[in-house]
Formats: sequence, C-alpha cells, structure tokens
Amino acid sequence: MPADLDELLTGLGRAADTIPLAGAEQARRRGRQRTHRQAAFSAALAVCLVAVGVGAVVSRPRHDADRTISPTPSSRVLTEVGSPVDTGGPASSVGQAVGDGKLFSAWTTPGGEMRLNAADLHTGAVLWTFTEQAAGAVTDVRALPDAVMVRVERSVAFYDPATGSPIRRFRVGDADELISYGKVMVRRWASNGEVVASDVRTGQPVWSDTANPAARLLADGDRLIQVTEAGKILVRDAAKGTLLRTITPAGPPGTQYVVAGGRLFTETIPCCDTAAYRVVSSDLTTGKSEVILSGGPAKFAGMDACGTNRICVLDAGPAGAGRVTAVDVVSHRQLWRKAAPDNASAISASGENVLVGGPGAETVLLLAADGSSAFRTPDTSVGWLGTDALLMMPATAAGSVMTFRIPDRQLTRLGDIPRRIGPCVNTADRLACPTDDSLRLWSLTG
Amino acid sequence: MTATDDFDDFYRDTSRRLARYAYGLTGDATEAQDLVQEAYARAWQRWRRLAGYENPEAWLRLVVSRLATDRWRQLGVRRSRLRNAPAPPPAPPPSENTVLLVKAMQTLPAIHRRALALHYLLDRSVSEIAAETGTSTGTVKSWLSRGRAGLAAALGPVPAKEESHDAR
Repeated sequence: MPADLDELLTGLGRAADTIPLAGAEQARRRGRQRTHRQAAFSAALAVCLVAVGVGAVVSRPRHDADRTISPTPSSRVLTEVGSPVDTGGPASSVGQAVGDGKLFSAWTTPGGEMRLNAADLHTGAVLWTFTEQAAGAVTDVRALPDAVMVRVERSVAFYDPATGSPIRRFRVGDADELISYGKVMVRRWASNGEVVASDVRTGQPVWSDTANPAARLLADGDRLIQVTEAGKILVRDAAKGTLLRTITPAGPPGTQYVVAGGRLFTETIPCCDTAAYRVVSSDLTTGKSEVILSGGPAKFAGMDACGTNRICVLDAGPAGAGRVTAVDVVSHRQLWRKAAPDNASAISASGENVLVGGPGAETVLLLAADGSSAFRTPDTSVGWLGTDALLMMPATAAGSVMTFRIPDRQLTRLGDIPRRIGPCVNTADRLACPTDDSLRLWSLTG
Repeated sequence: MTATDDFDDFYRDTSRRLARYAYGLTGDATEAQDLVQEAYARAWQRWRRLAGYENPEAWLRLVVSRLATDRWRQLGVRRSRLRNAPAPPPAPPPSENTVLLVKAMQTLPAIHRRALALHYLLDRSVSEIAAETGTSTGTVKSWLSRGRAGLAAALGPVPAKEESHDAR
C-alpha cells in the first residue's frame, strides 16, 4: 500500500506522461473529417440521440424478428412533402425547430455561410431564406413565439419568424444557459452565476438576480426555477422576476433534474459516485421537500416523470443489473420494479409509458403503465410520436422508418429514408431530416 | 507562420498537459488518447477563432471535461476513432499504485475528479480552478478537500496529508 496520497497523484501524472499520442497531423485530419462527412455524422448522432431521449447506439442491421412483439408490419408510402432544399454542399452543422406551423432550419455550408430558412410544415414550401457569414457550427435552433433563435458557437441571434430579418445578436459563454418565456429570455452567466432576464427583441433587461449565484436554471410553465450554488431552490415568476418561494431541499441537488406536476425532482448522492443515492421531491408551490426514494447501494442512471404523481428511476442494482423503479411521489410507495435491458443508461417517459435504452444497450424496451414489457426493439433511434406511439429509424444510416402504436400494438413500416447527417425533428404528422446535400420533409400520415 | 504550423506548435506545447487532464478524469489511457485527439480535432475545426482566444488550452479542457462526462458523446468518440483512424500505440501498463488510485478516483463525483486533476496533475491554483469552472474559491477548496478525503477513504489506511488550499 502506498504511503502518501501526493506520491500517488504524482505517479498518476507520470503515468499520464507515458500515454502515446497520435500527433497534431492526425488531429488535423480528424478535424477535417469531422468537418466533412463522417465526423459531422458522429457529432450529429450524439445530438440526435439526446434529442429523442433514448436510443440504442448499436450499429447493426435491423432484424424485425428481434422484437419481442413482432406483428407483421403493414406498409405505407413515406410521402415527401415539398421539394428537397439544396444545402449548397454537405452541411457541416444543422439545427432545426418547429413552431407555429413552420419548420425553421439553420445550417452551415462548406463555404462558411450560415443559412436559415422557414418552410411551411404543411406544404413544404420555403417561405424565406436568410444567409450570412458564420464562424463555427450551428449548435441550437429554437422557435420562440416572437423570434427564431439560432446559436452559432458563442453567437446567439434572433430573427423575425415572418421574414427572416435579423432582430439582434449577442455573445454568450460556452456554458451559459438560456431559457425563453414568450417575450422574455432568461440567461444564466456561467462565469458568475448571475441571472438576467431581458426582452427577446430589444435586449433590454427586465430583471436580474446577482445576489444568488445560480448553478442551474429550469423552466416550469411561467415559472423559473433557480438552483443556486448554495443549494437552495428559488422559484420566480419568469416574466417579472418576482420571487415566489425559496426552498431548502431535503438533500443537496445533484446533476439531474426533472420538473413535473409542480415538483422538482433531483437525485442527491451523499458522498461519491458509488454511494447510495436518494431522489428528492420539492413542491414548487408549498416548498415541501422530502426524500421519496432511497436507492440503496445502486448507482443512479436517470429518471423521468411517468404519469401523474409518478416518477420512474433507472439505476444499476447491487449486482450491476439495470432496473426501473416506479414510485408514487405522494405516498412514496414503490409501484413496481422491473429489469432494464443490459447496459441501459437512459430513460424517457411519455404519459405512463417508459422507454429504457441508451448507448451500449442491446435493445430499447418499452414498459407499460403497470411495468409490463410492451415492446422491445433493436432500432437505433427510438422516440416518442405523441404519447401513444413510437417513431423508430436507424440512427443516421439509410433505412426504414417505422411507427409502433402502443394501444393496439400496431407496427407500421412507413417507408425508407436516406442517410442523414444530423438529427431529425418531427411532429405528429411530419418528419424533417438533413441528408447529405439537402433538407427533406416527409409526411408520417401518408 | 501558417495556421498549420501554429496549430502544430500549440499541440506540441499543450497536448501532454491535456493528456494528464484526460487521464485524471477518466483513469483510462485509451480513453484519454481518444479524448485528447477528439479535443484537438475540434480545435482544428475552429482554429482560426480559437487561436485568438486568451486561453485556448482552457477551451480544450472544457471539451475534454464534457466528453468525459457525457456518456453519449464518449461512446460516439470511440466509435468515430474506430472507424476513422488507426489507434495510437497502447500505453504501457500502469503501476499497481496508479491502478489503485484510478479505482479510488472512480468513486468520486466528476467535479471532484476535475478539481483534483487540475490542481494535482496540472498544478493549477485554487483561484485558477475557480475561474475556469466558474465557481468560488471556497467551492474549489471544498471540492479538493472532499476529493482527497474520498480518495483516502477509498484507498484505505493511506495517511493523506492535511493540506490547506489557499488561493494562490
């Protein structure tokens, strides 16, 4: 046993110094690849999978027989809506958002331009296009009530959703948070935790809080939740900044947060990664905060609200096996506990249905309200299509788009889509994806 | 001097430190190799702008921190390397003490690992860590203190030195 912690740390540094590195030339080559096809493909994959909640990142052919429930899929034609929008070469980054019947797409061209357009979601017709020089990748696109927000690296710009005309722009830090509430945008400055709300269109400050450095911001309808560096929870009227309540949570907030049913749920780990976790529920109206689940020696992986007054928690149990536990947040009663797919690391719920999967998981599992296994699929990208259906497709490779209707367990093959270079967005009846050289829009309802 | 020369100089001057940092966060030599290359690949993509940053090395560390703690991306990085490039030579096997320490570090929260890596492997002061992580010096001292205590507890009866983390 070594005699001194400092010696051990010094030894760790020395060990790190012996790690062979591939060199600058290979880093540049890898950077170029990222900029062009394959690496942009990889970067988009991560964003895509996070966006849909869960997806098994397993690149392998689809086998419908792998599904535990494998009704013969009925086939329909995946109808293209409008004409493909030429991206002017392989886009190095793409972001899309839907709002007010329009699809807003921002992408960067190989020539270093950022293009933003709006298309009618019903017809696919392009309504306007705006082009400007950009330095960097599009990292965020949001359709706000009065503006389209596009973030290119550290530059955030607002555009008129009716015409595409620029409204204003400002710089942000990499870790700054932005939450929009109608006409107000709330920003957390990562550098000092300051929270400032400003008018989306004019940039005029509306209110600010410099006294309670925030570690995290969350939205709950019209309310803003500030998790402070000191571990308090402040609930504000987001538009006016009025402090509605200050909550001292039953345990120090962890890293994952779920806001549902007027409550904030967070995990708290008393000392270290492997210690027993607890899930704390804080009522944002009454301020009551309590531990609703103690995870024993299991390792916390994630959670989501899975119905009224219910939270579903994914963890790795004592033997390392994944499991999902549903808890009634009022009575703290455990409703059910079920095994998760091996290596599951992500959980997402819609209504009382729960999807469990994540990178490394062999399958994505759908659990019904009573915890029973309702569907299992090897598909690489699985997301919600409303509350009662799933939308499935290969992560980014060309392949079939399928839906699974939960109430009657109807599996439908809609048709094939080409390889994609970034995340798709969808509504109940439309699917928009960036492909190698164009933006495409399909109807999910035929 | 061309942008390529500039970047290569930057890589030569900073990559060893970034490897230390990545190794401190992950405890895995192969993963550290991957994270370092991925971070520099991203740096090269935006080199023209990054070169003008006051502290581009801090930007690289931010990328490595995010990649190391984001399991989605982490897996994506690994797959990307497997597809696109030959792996660099394997690192020599770590010593028994390093294995022990790495296992102990895995029991710590990521933020404690990050603080320990910055302080003990990169020799960053408390105030520098506070600036880089966007938090107070008091919080950093707490991270370091709790990190050391966590290591000591995980390692067993190791006489960890009492240390004060004064802002340097």
